Amino acid sequence: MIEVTGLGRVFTKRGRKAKRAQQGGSAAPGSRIVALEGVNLSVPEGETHGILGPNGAGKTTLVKILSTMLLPTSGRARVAGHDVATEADRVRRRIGIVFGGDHGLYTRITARQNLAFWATMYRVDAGVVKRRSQELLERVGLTDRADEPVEGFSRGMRQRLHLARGLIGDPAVLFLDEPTMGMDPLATRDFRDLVHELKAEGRTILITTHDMAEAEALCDRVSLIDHGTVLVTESTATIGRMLSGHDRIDITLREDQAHLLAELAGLSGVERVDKLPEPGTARIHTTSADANPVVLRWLLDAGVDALRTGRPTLEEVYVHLVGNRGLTV
Amino acid sequence: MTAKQVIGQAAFVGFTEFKHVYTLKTWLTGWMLRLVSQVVFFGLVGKMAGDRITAEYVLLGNVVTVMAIEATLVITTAALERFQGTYPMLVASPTNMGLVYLGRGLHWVVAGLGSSALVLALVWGLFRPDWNWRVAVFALPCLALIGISAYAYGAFLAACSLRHHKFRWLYLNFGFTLLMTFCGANVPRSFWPAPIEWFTEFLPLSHGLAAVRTLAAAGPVSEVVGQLALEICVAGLWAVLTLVFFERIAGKGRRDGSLNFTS
Repeated sequence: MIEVTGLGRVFTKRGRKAKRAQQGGSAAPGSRIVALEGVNLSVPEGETHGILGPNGAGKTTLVKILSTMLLPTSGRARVAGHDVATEADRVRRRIGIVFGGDHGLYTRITARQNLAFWATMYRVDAGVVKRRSQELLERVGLTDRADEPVEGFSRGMRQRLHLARGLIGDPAVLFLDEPTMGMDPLATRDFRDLVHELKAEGRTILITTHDMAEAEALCDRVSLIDHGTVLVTESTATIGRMLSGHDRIDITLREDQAHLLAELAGLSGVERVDKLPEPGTARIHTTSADANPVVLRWLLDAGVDALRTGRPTLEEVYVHLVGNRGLTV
Repeated sequence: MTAKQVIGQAAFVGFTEFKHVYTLKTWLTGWMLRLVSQVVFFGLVGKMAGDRITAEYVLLGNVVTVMAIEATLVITTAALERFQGTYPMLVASPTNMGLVYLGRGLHWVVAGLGSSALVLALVWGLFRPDWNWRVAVFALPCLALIGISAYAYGAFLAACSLRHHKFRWLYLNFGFTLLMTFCGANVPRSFWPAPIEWFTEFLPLSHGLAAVRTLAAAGPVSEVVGQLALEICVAGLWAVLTLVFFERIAGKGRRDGSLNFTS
């Protein structure tokens, strides 16, 4: 349903400064920004695919290209069988777009009126608009507030309306760009339930996020992306195993236990020990998930009772991935 | 989905936004007062500078210009679109954004019609000009036509301002100052050098205002009809330019990545 081959996007800074730098042969590296480079991606019909990456990784640029808001500077992409660059109008009839955040809705008209407006823009048959709007409002739980101006809506309500707006054209492919950004945990949970329903309907969904838990909860497969390049595309289970292999243990030592740090560093199953800024605190990186119980037992036997295990942040996983792959990434 | 439905939906959004910004009280005491002051000011200048005929010429020109000024305010709606982040969403929808814009600011035409009609009534009462009664009867449809052509012209400038949104107020002021200055509001178009006079043939207001002047002077109906027909042509020209230019702007935005979500 989504086929991306060697996709690239370079932004060229405009303005006199950038022009002077280019003419003078001193084109600053900043005058050309590579947002995407050689991206390959294949998302079959019915799959929920996550694009994971930190801010500035290129996730939104990819979604903008796939949703026809932006043209690629190299490579090609097809959505629902149509080229996003040359058949934009055909692509637009088959997709729905949901962006996170406050923007993208007319706040002074009601939720129902917003849906009617966007239905018209998506060329939904006039006889269908009323019924479909009502169905979507019920689905996203906004029936009671359907006839109130959107400006009085909470972030979660707006996001649900965004989702309804994205579905008004009954799209085969749905793009969700950071859809739960800024939402409280309850609203996030409800939103994810809605996405599960859409998934069950067989829609193809591409979701960008920097939240690993969200990706695990929603996606069949995920692609890790950074600096405009796809680092890896795997099933969520595989990514989960990659993560658990990099678990860490944070400990707080008393003054009389300081000597333990050196002993820990030489312990089997310990990759390295980093001192943390707080006095007496350190972070133990284990070599594998199997090593964790062994190291924990050793710590308890040594009398260390202030300890905490945790999964690394996505950023730490990136550090591991890039570090392991070196220049081959 | 017809163009009429798209324009209708877009117009509905615009009217709702307008109702949020103005109440009848704020519209009368703010905007209307400003327009009346402007027209009276120019009327008095005309009176001081020349005879009664000059004063009435300037007065009528400025009353009709009120319609054109208000219609060009569609440029501010483009800025609002950008601020709300709906601009890229519209580009990524299967509908031509230019078509949306031909309806999105129509409330300015309706408001302009109300403003100019009210100003016309006020100055007629205040200055007692020697205008033919036909102005009172036929001014409204003439003003509506001028409003539509000025609106189409404003929508074109709105498309331009989407590319240079920092200069949106410059576009607005430049847009209506051009009309006020060169299209026969205060001095006849023939006053200007020939190239400028030729250029004003393609600007809104020029022919519509001439038609209203012909009405006021009890000129032949055929002349009024001919002038209004030319105003319709001008409206069509700017509407086509708007549709084409919005497509170009969207295409350029896709190429250079300037379809930002907010200003």
